[in-house]
Amino acid sequence: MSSANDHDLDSLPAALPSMWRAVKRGFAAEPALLAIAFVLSLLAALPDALMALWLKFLADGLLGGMPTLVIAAAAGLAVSATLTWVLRVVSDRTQRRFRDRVTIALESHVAELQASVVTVEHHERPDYLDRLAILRDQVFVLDHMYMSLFTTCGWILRLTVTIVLLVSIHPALAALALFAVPTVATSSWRPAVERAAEEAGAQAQRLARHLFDTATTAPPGKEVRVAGIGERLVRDRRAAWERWYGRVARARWGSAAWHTAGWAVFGVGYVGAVVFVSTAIDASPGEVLLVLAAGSRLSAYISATVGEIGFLRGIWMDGSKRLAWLEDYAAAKAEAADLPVPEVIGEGISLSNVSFAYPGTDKLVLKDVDLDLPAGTVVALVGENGAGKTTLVKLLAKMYEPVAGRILVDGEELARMPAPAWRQRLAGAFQDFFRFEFAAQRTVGLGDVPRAGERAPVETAVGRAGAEDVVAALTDGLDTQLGPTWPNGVEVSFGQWQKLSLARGFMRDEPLLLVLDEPTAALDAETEHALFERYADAAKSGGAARRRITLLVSHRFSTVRMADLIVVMDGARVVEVGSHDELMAAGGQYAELYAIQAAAYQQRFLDGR
Amino acid sequence: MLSVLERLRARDELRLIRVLYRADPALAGLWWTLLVARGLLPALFAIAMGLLIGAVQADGDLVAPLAVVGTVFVLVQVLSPVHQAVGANLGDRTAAWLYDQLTLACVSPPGMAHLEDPELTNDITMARDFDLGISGPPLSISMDFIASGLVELLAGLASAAVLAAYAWWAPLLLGGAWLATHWLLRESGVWKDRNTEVVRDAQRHADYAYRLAVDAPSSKELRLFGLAGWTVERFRRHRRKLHDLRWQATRLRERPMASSIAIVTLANAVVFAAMALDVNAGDLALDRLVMFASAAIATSMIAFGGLSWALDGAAAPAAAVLRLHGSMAPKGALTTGPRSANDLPAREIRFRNVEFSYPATPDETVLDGFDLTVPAGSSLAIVGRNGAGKTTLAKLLCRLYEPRGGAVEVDGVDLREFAVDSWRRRVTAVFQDFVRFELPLRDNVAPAGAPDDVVRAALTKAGAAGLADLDTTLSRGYDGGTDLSGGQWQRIALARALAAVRLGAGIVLLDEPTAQLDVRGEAEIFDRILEETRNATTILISHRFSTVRHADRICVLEQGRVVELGTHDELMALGGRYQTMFDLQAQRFEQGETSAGEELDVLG
Repeated sequence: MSSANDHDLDSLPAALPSMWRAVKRGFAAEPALLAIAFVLSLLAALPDALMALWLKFLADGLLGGMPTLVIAAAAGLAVSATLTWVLRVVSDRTQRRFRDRVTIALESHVAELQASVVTVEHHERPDYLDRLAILRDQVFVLDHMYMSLFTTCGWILRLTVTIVLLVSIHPALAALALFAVPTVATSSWRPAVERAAEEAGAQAQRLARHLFDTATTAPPGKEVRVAGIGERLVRDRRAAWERWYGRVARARWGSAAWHTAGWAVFGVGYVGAVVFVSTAIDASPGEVLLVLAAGSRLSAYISATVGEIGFLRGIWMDGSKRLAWLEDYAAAKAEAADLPVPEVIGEGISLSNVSFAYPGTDKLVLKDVDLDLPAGTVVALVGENGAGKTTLVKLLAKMYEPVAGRILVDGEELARMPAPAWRQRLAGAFQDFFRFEFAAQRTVGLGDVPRAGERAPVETAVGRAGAEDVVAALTDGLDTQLGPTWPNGVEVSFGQWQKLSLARGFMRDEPLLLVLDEPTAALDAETEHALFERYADAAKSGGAARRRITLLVSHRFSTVRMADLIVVMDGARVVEVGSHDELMAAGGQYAELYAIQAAAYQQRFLDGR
Repeated sequence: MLSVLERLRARDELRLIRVLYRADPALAGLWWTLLVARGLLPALFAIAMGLLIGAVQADGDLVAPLAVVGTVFVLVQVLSPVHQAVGANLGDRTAAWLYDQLTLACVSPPGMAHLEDPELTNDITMARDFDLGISGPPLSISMDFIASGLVELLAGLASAAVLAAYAWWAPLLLGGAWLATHWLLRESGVWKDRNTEVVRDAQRHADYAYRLAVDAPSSKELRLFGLAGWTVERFRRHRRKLHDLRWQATRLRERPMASSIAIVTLANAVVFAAMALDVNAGDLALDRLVMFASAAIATSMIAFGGLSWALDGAAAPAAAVLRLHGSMAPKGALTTGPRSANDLPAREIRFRNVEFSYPATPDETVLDGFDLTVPAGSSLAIVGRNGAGKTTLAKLLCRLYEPRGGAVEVDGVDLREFAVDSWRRRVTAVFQDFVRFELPLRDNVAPAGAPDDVVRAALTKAGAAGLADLDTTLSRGYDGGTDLSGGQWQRIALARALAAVRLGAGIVLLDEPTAQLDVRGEAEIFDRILEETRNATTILISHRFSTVRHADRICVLEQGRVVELGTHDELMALGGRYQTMFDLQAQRFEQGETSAGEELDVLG
């Protein structure tokens, strides 16, 4: 991706087109409900707006001594009052139904967008995180936006009717609308200020939430108690929150002051209009009454319109801008993939001059890496913490794209293969695995979704990972709900979670590439041993498994040495490549690291002799 | 009317009102004052309009009535944005107060059981997430909905009161009719049965699926296994179910709606017809007609106002927080005595016939007749298969749980006789899932505070010197923050324990402290750790035999019991479980004897 493109993605897209996109999305999801809800909210506006007219007729009838007009006006008032209510109740219901439906569509859309962005960059950049955190909270209000939009149209209709009534008394009264300009101005400007304050405080908010999670969940609870920092967490959480609140509250008070000033201006205009009709143009009491009633309704309508517009601007427009940004972002990250993923790897995967820096940083985590991973081999990646091993794994899984250089699969560019199809052919487990809190069957089965519900493949995978003991220890075996916060859920230990994650990684039968990023750090010696013995046997069997590449990140040299090819990384570069014997003979970094670990065991060996 | 009273009596709403005061008395007072003022203004405006029209008709002096109309009018406009700002700030402060209470309720009990109790899970889930805008609007927005409902209700009632000056029956008839709509449509208003198992289930599954799709921790596996479509579909299904349940419960029913329309139409017809007849009979002057007709129109606000659904949504979590405050304390309580644990243990720590199972799963015995003595100042390594109960021992030593039978003793005294805080000051622990604080490096090493030189020294000893500046936040989610690798984090966790030792901790618990360290790191650091903690009683849990063998004594744990105990050499000589496991790991190194031999030469 070019840097110019990067720049574009940093700013939010324009408001109105974004909103239009969101409206279209709502229409696509629920066309009929949207139309009905819209028409109803317009209809509901009419009886209300005519109240001022009925009042005038009532006064005219009284003063002119016209009993029929008095009766008609009174009937108009009664019908208007009743209809206003009935139409509002019915249109509220329709809107709520529409909202319910559209919320699901929108929330799913947001979740889908985030989940299907091919890279994970958006989970790791602070500015994107801030933006997404707000969008996530706003999804609830996004649906409110449609209602808000309809309501706004309703208010605008009322406004128009009312202004027509005023002008019928005297054209100059239309000027009353001009006095509303300041309130319209403040209402469209202040919500953005409040939003900006919230965004500026997002980090303080995130810290408050982190401290809150630390204090209120069980896993960190152990250390919180041993270190005796409970009170500190309470205090610091509040302090972080106050930092957020300080900004936001200031912005809100500022808004209140500006709105007050704006309405004071309109109040002056209103009083001026009443003085004008009652003294300057010598109007009848009925006409003064119309101005009084219509004018006060005008203010209510303006205030409601402005409030809704403020809401639209503050939350909807902002939300829809974020949504549009996310859509653009997901689209920009969707690659131009035109190559199929091979059925079987013929030669292997090679990295040519690959460099990588995490987005938003300058530091190269991988630097000019050239590497061949031949088909049918087990490749071990070793190196000190921070040498770039995990990053290399992430690039191979297409979680990120290299900044420079190419990754080739049988000579074809990996960048041109669609990520979902490529990943379909991967399998593996990570050091920082996720604890999928479902029934154990599903927790493992998710490693191959189409077969997630089938017993046999899950049992096979559990066997491959040597996790039979974990399953056996569960009260209902594979049907046991994991995670103590779920009804009947049980907690299992860290090591047991890790075995289940490994089983998940072994669900797919014929992956092209298996990545194992320190998947056994928490496992005991016997399990690890059995696992790799079994694994080595399976890799020697025929079929596609024979051409599979296994990439193993490990600190255990007892495991590493059985690999066909060992890649030593140091300071973002590949420094040594070769088999165990070759590297030992070379007497380089690998030999040195191996010696350190071997010494711990071989001391006994020496003692014994 | 009945329904209003009924709901007022429901305690959750009243609790929320009390909470508003406790969160910020000044803002809460202001909020109520503005609410009442806004509620009275529409009725005042109707009166002012009547006065002004009367003056216009009589060609009288317009200054006074105009001033009244102008003032009331401006107040109506101005109070609303001010009220909104007050409400938003009050809502946020109330949410913060509730979160403070919840945090306190979680951290105050010395034990852990209250955080894992399945009976409290529902309340905790509701209380933890209520202000995130997931299940409903956050309080800052809810307050505006609540205020609008009450202002309208009050305005309608006040207008009805004005009507009393026209005829005594008018406010009763019209006000009663509008109030009746609340009662007739009560079923469709608030979703009462939303706390059933089915509803909660749908809600939780939907939330979990949503987080799975959008949160970072699951992002890698979500992509690797192509779970995006699956998890979004799952979310959609459960969300849909939730909405359908609500729709069913609150849909508009035809008969109550028809009755409402009939009653409202009749009442309005009677009142306005009476006014028309009085006007035609010459019994109602223009000023009073304007006053009463406006008031009669404004009375309809009774139907629009009321107790907002948002009140219900805000009150339930507030009540949950307050409930938790009471119910967590006893669950997380521990038996404790007055003794000080200063400088202990002098002689030994002993697990005497300890029986244990976790409170959440009382049927699964983790430790059974467990007996083990650790001499003070020595190091003990515990090995055993996953799930053998190793971490549980560490937790018991930290006094996070009570043993179900037997006792943990320090110099012969039951641990339960010591003050919990005093004992915990003696202990430091690195758990497998140690906390990665999104805080500066300094606070990650010394969460409870320590001088900078202690922090620096601990970092150096743990091999983490120069990782970052002490003020750098250890998370990339913050400006200037940085991310550490798994191994780097582990060094920080070790530094945390070392700093505690320097500050006086005498018992060090290390649960897989080197699992994520690289080779050089493990060899270097572990020696230094043992040196730093040589005066402390150290308990080490590890799978790495290269690490384990450095301990003074090694204990092999199987199914909650000690099966072997001794020094490395003794256990190797014994030829039991330990030797089998050790050989498995060592085997790989021993295979290539030639190369191994060469290396030993290299090492000298």
